[in-house]
Amino acid sequence: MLLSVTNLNKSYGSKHVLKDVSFEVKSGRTLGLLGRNGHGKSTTMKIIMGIIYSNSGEVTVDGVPIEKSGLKLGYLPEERGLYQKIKVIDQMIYFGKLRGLTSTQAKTKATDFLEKLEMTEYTQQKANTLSKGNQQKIQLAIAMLNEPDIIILDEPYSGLDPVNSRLLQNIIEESAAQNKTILFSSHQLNTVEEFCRDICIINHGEVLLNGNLRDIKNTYPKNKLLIVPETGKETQLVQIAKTLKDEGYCENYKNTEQGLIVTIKDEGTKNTILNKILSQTEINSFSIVEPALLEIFLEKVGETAE
Amino acid sequence: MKNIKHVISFEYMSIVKTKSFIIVLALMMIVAVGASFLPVIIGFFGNVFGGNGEQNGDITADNQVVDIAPGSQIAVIDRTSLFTNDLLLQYMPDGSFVNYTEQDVNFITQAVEEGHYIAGLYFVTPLSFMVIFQNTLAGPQALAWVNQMVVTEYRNQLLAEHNLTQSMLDFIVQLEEVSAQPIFVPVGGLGFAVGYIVNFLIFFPLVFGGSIIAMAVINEKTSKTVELIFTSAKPSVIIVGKVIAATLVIFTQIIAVAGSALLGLRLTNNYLLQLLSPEILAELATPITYLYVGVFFVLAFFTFSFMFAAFAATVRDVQESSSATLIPTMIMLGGFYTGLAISMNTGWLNPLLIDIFSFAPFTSPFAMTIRITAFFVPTHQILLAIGVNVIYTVAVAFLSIKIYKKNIMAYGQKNSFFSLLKAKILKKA
Repeated sequence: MLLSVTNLNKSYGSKHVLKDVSFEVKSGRTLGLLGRNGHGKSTTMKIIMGIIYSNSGEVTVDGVPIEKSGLKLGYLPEERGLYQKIKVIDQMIYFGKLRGLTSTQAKTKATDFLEKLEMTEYTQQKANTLSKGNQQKIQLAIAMLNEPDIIILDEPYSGLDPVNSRLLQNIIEESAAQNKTILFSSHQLNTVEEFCRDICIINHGEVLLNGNLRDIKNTYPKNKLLIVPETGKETQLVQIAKTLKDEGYCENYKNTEQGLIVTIKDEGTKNTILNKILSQTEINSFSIVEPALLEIFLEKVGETAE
Repeated sequence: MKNIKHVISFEYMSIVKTKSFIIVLALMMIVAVGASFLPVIIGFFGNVFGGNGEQNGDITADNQVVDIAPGSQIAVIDRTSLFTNDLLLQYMPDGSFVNYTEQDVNFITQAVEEGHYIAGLYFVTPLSFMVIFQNTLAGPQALAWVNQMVVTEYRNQLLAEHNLTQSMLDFIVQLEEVSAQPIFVPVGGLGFAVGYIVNFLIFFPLVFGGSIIAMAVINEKTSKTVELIFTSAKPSVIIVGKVIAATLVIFTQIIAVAGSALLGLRLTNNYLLQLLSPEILAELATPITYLYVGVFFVLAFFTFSFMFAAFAATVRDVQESSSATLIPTMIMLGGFYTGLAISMNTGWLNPLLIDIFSFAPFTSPFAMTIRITAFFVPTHQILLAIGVNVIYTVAVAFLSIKIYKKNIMAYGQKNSFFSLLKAKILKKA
């Protein structure tokens, strides 16, 4: 199954908020939709969900318009909102029924999810008595109640503590393993990097970068080396790096907690550098550093900002 | 469409299970029961402070002989058995009346219309209902006579049977002299009373229902719940579900309050109970009249509820709720006062204007309900008005859904009503 977003355009008055946005997500894969605040991520998600309409473009699943695909969709909106004065279980059953479950099925599913999310004690409580994080978990459960084929999560991690973040991550991974199509936005780029195979960066309503994260990273030059010195040899290693820079073997170096990161001029010089270092000091490890998603993001977004 | 059922059920339960709803309803029921004791209390104080002088048949009939043109006759249908032939003869010694008992109001209407009689008198219940039809041949004397006769005879009977004071009787039966009009002129006081009551019976449920829907929409919007709902049901399903749920809530309130009032009347053995007996209700109006009133009420409820929902969708926060509901409330008030004017009309309101109000949007449900309950309205007019109101309701619903859909997700901006009208309401949101 292939979810295709093709040339979406959306304007609010004279403000063009989406400009030919296109990307694809395959089933069983998780796509991280990235971008700065207010640059079109949520609008894109709402259009996919059919909450708002685009001015042009289409959203299809295997070539069929998504609304006619018959697939079940699950959505966690960016704007958190539950019926504040209604009991948790009652609103879960309500949303379950709206999504085609029978009353009994909805109740069973809701109870299962509350158990999975470690929230059974809140079953009979009204939403306004729950913390923000717990309300978010309830909304996540509502989004997943009908076992959707396509799951769209807008900032699912915001407001969650590390334990709950892990819980959410498990649910997402479990869904991906069940061949669901998952699309989520987040500003926690390390999390996205950890378990998204595909990314799409939107800036000012335009897609800046889109594709498989590994492929994207491979397009970047492997010009950073992480060298971890033996204990007590840190200062010596910095001195060697300074000499290498003075001699023109490397562009720059930076001492970090992980070790010394040396930026080389071209990939061909890395063996020379390594030999020079090994001839003067002892090191624990040596590895090529890939660009982090954060760096890629900042670089891309920075480019357009300039 | 299955989702509408779920929306209705959820919305209904989420309203009736709230503490505020239960408390308000309980208070209304207490007031309804308490109001039944009011006449008892008034009677008590009336006796204590010397109101006895006007009681119990002290007043004798001051018969006034009617001067009717030779050959002119008045048709009388008396279901009350109050006006015997002897009594009528006292007022019309030359026997210029024809007393029918088996005929109905349509007979007398037609007979007067066709000039067989100069006037028709239709007495249905002793206390509650009387209709006078007259044509241009009848002078003001006929009506004066009727007033005289009815007031005197009713008063005597009521005072005797119900142990009422004169002031209480005056409050209940305000028969006034009516100037001569073409045909179908109701007794002013009674028409006004009926119209006034019907007007309020329509207006208050509409206001309550409207505010229920407005608050539901505003809460959903400001709490951002609407995004979650939109992924589960279409906006049209949500709004229609809310309107039906509010209708059911209002009917729940009406049944509870009416039940309480009945209980109160029974507890106090109130004379008003007589009016609510099935026999008298059947005499007051035919079942089809009640059906017509119900249809107009439901159509009005739907029309205004959709309007409230649409305007509520334009707010940015809860503080703006009163300003959002102001416009539909004002429109509704326009209808209310139109209805009031029609109920008070004793001839000064241009018949063409009444017709316009009867078919114009937003005034039609008020005008027609009052005309049906207090006056005679030809069936074809009623059916036409129902048809027109169905069209209005559908149009308002369609427009409201568009406005709702366009605005419910717009958190930061508020569209004015006029900008909504001229903007892309009919286009995709």
